[in-house]
Amino acid sequence: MAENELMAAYKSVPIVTRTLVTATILFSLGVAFHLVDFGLIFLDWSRIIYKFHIHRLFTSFVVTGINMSFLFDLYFLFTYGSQLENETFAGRSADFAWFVIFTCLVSSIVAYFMGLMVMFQALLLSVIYLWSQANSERIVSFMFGVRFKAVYFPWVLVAYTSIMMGAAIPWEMLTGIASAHTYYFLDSVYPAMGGPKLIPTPTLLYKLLPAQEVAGAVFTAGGTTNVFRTAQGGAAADTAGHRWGSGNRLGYAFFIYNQKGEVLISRLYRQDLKRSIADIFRIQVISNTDVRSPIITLGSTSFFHVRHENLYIVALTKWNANAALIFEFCYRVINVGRSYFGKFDEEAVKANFVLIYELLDEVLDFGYPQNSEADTLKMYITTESVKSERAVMEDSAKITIQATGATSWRRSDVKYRKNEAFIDVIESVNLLLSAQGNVLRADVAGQIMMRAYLSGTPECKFGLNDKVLLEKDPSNRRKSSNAVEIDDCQFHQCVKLGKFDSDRTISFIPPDGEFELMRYRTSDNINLPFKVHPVVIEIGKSKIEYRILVKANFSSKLYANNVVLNIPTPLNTAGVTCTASSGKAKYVPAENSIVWKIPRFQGQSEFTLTGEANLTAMTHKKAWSRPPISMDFQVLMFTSSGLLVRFLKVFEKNNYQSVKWVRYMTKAGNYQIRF
Amino acid sequence: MADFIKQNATRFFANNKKGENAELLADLNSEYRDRRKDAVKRVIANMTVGKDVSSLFPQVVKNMQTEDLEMKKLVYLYLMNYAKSNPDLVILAVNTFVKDTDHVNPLIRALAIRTMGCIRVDKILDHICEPLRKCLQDDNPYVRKTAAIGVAKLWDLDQERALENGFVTTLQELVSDSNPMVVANAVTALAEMQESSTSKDIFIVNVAIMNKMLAALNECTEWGQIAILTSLADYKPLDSKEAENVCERVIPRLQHANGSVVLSAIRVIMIFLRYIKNEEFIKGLIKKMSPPLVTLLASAPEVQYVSLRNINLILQKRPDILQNDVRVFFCKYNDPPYVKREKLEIMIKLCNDKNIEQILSELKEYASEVDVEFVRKAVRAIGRCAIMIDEASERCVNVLLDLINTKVNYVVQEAIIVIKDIFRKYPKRYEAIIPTLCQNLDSLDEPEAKGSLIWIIGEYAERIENADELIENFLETFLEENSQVQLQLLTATVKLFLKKPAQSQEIVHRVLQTATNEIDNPDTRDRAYVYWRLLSTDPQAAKAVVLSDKPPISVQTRTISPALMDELINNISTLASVYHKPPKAFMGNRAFSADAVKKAAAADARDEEQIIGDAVLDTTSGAPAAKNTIADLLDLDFGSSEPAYTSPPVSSSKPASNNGPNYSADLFDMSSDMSGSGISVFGGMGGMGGMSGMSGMGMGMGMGGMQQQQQQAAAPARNDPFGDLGGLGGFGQPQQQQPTKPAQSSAENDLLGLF
Repeated sequence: MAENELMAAYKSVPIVTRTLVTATILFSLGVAFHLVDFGLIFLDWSRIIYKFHIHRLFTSFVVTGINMSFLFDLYFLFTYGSQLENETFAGRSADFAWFVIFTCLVSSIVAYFMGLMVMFQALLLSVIYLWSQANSERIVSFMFGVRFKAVYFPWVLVAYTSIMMGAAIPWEMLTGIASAHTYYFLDSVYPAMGGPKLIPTPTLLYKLLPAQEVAGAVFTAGGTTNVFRTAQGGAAADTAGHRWGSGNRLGYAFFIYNQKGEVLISRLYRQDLKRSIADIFRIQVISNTDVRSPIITLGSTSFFHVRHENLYIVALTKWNANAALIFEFCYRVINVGRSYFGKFDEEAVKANFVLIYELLDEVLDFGYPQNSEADTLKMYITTESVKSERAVMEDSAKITIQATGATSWRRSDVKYRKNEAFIDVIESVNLLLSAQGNVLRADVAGQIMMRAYLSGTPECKFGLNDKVLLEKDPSNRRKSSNAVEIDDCQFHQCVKLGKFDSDRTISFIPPDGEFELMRYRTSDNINLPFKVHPVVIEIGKSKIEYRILVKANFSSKLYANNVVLNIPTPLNTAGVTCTASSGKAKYVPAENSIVWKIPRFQGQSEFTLTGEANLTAMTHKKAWSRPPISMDFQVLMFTSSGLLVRFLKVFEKNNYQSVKWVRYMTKAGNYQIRF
Repeated sequence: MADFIKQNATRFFANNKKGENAELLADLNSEYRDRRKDAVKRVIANMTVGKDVSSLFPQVVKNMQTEDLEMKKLVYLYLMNYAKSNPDLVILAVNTFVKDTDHVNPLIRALAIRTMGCIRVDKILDHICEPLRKCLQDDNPYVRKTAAIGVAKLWDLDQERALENGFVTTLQELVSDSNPMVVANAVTALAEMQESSTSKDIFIVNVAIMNKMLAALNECTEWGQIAILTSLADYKPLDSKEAENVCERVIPRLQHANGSVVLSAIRVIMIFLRYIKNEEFIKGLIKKMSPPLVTLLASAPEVQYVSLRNINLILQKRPDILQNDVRVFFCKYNDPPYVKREKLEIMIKLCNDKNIEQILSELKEYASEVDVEFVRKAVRAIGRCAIMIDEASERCVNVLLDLINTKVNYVVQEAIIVIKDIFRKYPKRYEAIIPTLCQNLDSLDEPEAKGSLIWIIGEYAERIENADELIENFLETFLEENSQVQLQLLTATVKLFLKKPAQSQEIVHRVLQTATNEIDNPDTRDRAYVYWRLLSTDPQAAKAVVLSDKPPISVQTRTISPALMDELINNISTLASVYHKPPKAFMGNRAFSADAVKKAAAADARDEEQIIGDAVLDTTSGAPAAKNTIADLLDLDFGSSEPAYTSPPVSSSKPASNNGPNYSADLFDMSSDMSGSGISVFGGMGGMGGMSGMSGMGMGMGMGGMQQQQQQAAAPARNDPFGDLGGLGGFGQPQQQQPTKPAQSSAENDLLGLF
């Protein structure tokens, strides 16, 4: 495995640089250990000419002495070589190879007159020189933190070497610089002055090192000037005005507004939309007090909006769009926002609008949603922009494959010392009790949250006391009495739905960290944690008497937290007096209700509240609509549906032991009691 | 030309704001990277709030050539926004784009090709083909999937070029790509291209393609699954067996957490059900579809709304679904009004003699809520239950009586309207309650409620001892009444005369005289003449005509014709299914792409007006928004003539003025500006005309008249200075907002007729 990584790292170095570095290491070590005869390698023109030792033209450039500076030199060659090849030549290895060949030839010819024999320094300096020209404004730090612009870098190197060698002139280096400058001049400067390109890369090289001819690509070494030159030339030649009228055809746009109707984020995906379309929404919806639908169609333009905190998230379309998709998408944007900024409100949007644009760009292309998993997005859209560019470059290939792959939600290289998985079963009980005490509606919406801290790529299997599954297995039939009948369930995208459909096993490769594994719904045999008996009597027109009894229906070993009852009072309530047998009860005029809080509620106990509301006289005789009493609570280690986790098995190829934890909680969903 | 003006305008605008833009300019040229980046960020911020920063184009683009990915993205964002206003300068950016599509970093390659596609200037087209071809063949799936959408972008601009370069074929090959996301995007792109294609068959789903899509279905993202499911729905299975197989493969999607995936899967299943002959299998499918539909009700309210509209549709097609789940549609107190309304509709659809008790007590509960519109709907729903289920009618009537006893004004009125229908359906069964109804005579102020009670009195005149007094009571205000009430009074009086000639000869004479002499409304006047002539020539014939048996009424639970139903099933989860209207009713022109629009002249604009006009009026039952559309659109138009409106060329070229004709010019201007809504303004007017005709106004209203009326409708809301103009037109009769009519309108139509 480690070997593979090494190979991958090696392979990730662009080809020409890779070849040069490898050859240098091989030849230099070979000479140092006397495996290769130095006599056969160095540059000797007489033998090239008379004995046809043509290889010397290449080998002399990749051999050097093994000493302290060898490592530095290798490092320089590697770094600047790959930067040149990747960035300046933008991956066109053929052009880079041509540069190397050209400079080597020039250096060799110079060497003939100077009598130089080992040319590695020349190759190195030519690479560095060209790099310094391409990145002339960059700041380079050298040796003991001396910082200067990159353009001086080759000269600093020459001076340094010269000092180290005892004031001798490093001719090889100067040769390298000269040859690189020749290339630079002929390739960029001279054509930029209007001359023809004298040294085009041979087409043979393009064939050998596959890269495509790029229309209009200009070598950037001279900064931006020559790019602009060509561009303006092109612009002058083209006199046709643009043809796109303001024809109104089909559109798709995405906006985020604040409550005042100011556009915070605006992204138009089809060209025919005007920005003023954003104002239409403001006028139609935000400043309209009576909006009775989340979808509004004006002419052929439909606006879809979702409100969140103090924002309007708006999508716009002009075709028969998938309405459900649009709303789901809006909510997904909110989720991604929350995951990035903690909170998705006006403040967060204003503070992070650049990042939001970046995210939107990734999430929605041409009006089509792409990838909206916050975890995946976080791999390559990061909040700190200062992240090393190098790292981005290496990872991005991996990230992109992952982001589009079949298990886009998980990285393969997750490692934990201790492998743990936490499962939280959270049930929300919805209840609607009629004034007569009949259950009109009772169901449980459950959520199974998982926090997986597992190494590698684990396959998990998850089992519940699901009635359908248990009844399938004849040996379990007896036990199935306490099984739960699940009406319907939904899974995180990591769960293999096909498998669940065929044999009701839940198997998946979990994402790293916290996620919602499944949601389920059941309406069968629900244990209501609380019973409420309200008696509310209107005495004449000025008084209402309350007598509310609450009883906890679960085992006395358990207890509920944060129990809150909201008992509505009429709008014209003047004042309320009430006493509760436990907890605190007080009248909150802003909510038009008596709020009764019981911090801790032991199982099987019961409490009562008695109170009296005094009403002011009202002119119109409209009856009080008696909104239902609503209730909030949390009960730990209790599930209303009786659902239990039977097992969680983790299979991984390393066969490690993992620790699993399960917690249960029941809380109030829509717990309403009419009276 | 318009653009020329606009550019001048922007230059002018920029001069005004010289301070800030000059500062930005300096920063953009700064030698420090951080400073430049900061400047670009500020430029983007200004762009977002609508300030014009297009004058900085060259300076911003200069910063494009950078290794800083974030900076690059910012500049690209700017480019996408302003490329159109600076088409000549875009060429500056082309080099960097092309170079970036060769970058080693796949993210940058993808970014470049994505952005290039979004710069919708034709000059860039010359440069996009090569990079696009390269990217479509890229090793990296991320680049490929981005390029796939890129083809759709190119297609949108220039179909010829996309075809010539063979991109369509490449895209078709990408459908069999190894990466699921690439497949999904290729399918998305092809589907869009197919829809906007003028001639060629770009994307025909055949067996091979279907199998590839099904294979990718399990692995791609939720959005990709929707794309695939949508295209899958276009496939025509060869036989029942094949359709079954496809359904089998799609069923697991019903468990997806994303509601739109579930709905898309349901669409495929509903469509394929047509081909399946195996009854057992169909039953199984329907059983499997119910729970996910119920689960959708736990999602966000907006998704619930879409789901409920679709459930409504599915229920009409397959009434056997969800039969035992009526409880889940009970409204929660804090549901948004649009969700409540839809739940109510579905409750009625699911109503049967087993669950009627539950539903009734639920409806009664709703009738005590605060939201007036919802309360009215709840009361009407009770009436519909009574008419639908014979055995339950008595219970319904009792509930209605309870409601009448609450004395809440609008509840009482609504209940009386509903009881009138019950009387129609079950004649002579509930006469005992008539006295209770008559006690509420004084609280009625809505014409429909009044009309209903008068009809009841007329119909049962022989059983009501003081019928003549009651009628007399109403007749005091005969001339002030709404025409609907006048007509009812007229008929009721005649009925009374025919039943109790002795008591009412004088009354009938007086009424007919008043109606013929003092009322200008032709409907009322002519009806009075008809009665008079009938009574004077042959009282027996009059009896036969006026007191004949009424045709029975019934509640239609299926309001959609079979043909429309099929079309809507094909469009489950889309806007069409929300509105219960065919897509063409609200989409306008079918020609999608910029290319097509360029080529197609606006020849059939006339027909379109018609269609959209109808749609706007009709959607009242389906889309609550549409009801306000007329006023809304005007509202919008007021906006456009205000200087604050951010389309300076429009308002400056046509100064806003406060009189009628110019106003209409503005309207037209608007319609050229955003043709869709502009058109529906006129459609809406047609609708208004129809409505006013119904309530007694002449139909021969001119365009100008309507416009004035429109102004009147809009004026009070905005407290506009020319609100008083409406009064001048002679249409000063206040237009009462008719409560939306439920499906039983057949009954009301009868009432409006002679009988």
